[in-house]
Amino acid sequence: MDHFELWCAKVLGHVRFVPDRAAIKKELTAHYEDSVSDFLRIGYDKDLAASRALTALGDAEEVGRGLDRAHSFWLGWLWRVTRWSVFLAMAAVTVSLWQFGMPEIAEWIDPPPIVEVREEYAQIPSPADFSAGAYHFHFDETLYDWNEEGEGGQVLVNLSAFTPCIWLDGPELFDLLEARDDRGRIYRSDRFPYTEGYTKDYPLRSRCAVSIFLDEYVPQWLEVRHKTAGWSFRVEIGGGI
Amino acid sequence: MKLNRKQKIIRNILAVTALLLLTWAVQGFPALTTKQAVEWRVREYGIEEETEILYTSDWDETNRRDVIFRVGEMLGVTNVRKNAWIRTAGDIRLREAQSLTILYQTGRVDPTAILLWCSVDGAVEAECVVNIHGMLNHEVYDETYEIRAAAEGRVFRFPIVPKGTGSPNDHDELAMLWDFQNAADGQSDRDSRHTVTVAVKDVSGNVLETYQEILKRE
Repeated sequence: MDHFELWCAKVLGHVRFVPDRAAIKKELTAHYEDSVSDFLRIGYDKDLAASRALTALGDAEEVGRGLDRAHSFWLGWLWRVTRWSVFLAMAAVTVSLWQFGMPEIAEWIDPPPIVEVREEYAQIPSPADFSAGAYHFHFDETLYDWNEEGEGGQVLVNLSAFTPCIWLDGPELFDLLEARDDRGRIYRSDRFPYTEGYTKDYPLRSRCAVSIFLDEYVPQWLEVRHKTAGWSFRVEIGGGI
Repeated sequence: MKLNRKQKIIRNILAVTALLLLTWAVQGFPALTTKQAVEWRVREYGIEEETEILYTSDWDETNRRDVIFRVGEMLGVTNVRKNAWIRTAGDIRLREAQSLTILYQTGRVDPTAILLWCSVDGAVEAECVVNIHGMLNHEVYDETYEIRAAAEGRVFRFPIVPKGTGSPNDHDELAMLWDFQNAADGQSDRDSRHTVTVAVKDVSGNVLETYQEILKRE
């Protein structure tokens, strides 16, 4: 082993971040060979040029300690770990996309309503928007579908529920809504006349629908209450249209 | 622009964070722990009080577990499903907390157990008698299960094992157990009248307290 190789081995022995040693050796070798070439160009013989170039590289101990500081052990490994993590995260995205498919971003922003509005539905005034718990409720439309045979009809409320907590599904409504009319009659979720609530979940804006099925009596108003959340809103029907 | 190693580390950490968020989004923002799944579900029910997890059963063969929790003065029960690292909580049933509170499972077609929350000091074992009674195929169906359980902290878990497994009447029994499960929500068949009686005992076998409730559609 020549003198440069011994010098190099001594320097690299100080560098604790082993993966960098090859690159450091390459750089030191290039530096050494440049220096040798310079000495040869000004007339030194081969051995003297090599010896002077080696001396110019400096003390192996000192250079080794300096390079160890520059190629920090912890920073080096942290960099490597984060690089592997990027590849693992990319693999996780790929597997998730393969498993769950591409999310419908357009539907996240403007989800389709649960109940399509038909021409025969009459618009009635919507209650004021309100906030409750993790959600802000916006009334998209409130409709009344009069049954022409005179046996009541259906009040339909389309709502949007917004939440900044994107990890939450929409508000749970199923079996949790109860309505009361101006005569104090209760419209439960499990028997006629009844109240139904549905939610279609999206991360930013969930769509909700509340249907209240009436019997022959058409009330002036209906108050819909959520049994566990405690919020309520009132729909003014005006005794039919 | 050539980045130094520190800058590369920061870039990589940001990239990993973004990619993991994307993975989470693609999977539908799932909860990663049972506690998280229950807390989120409670918020979806519009309940803002803090959720205290009181009991979690072991995972069963269908990767489900029962969870009992407290929100305010109420006790709740739900069912959490496991799919790889994803945890999903099902429907929630809430009941006012009493010294003996019977909690019926959710998220199952047939009940596998009845849960009892007991705040009676010194209760170490309990008995539960379940009488399933109703009409099935125009005939009276009546079956009684007597189940014993040891305390798991403040909880007693009474497993319901169908008696007629393998017999021609399997379906009848399962149908009535399904009706019993619905009865907990007040949605059983009109002719059904199921009775649940529990008695908790101390270490000497003395009965400390008993409680009975009838599940019947109003």
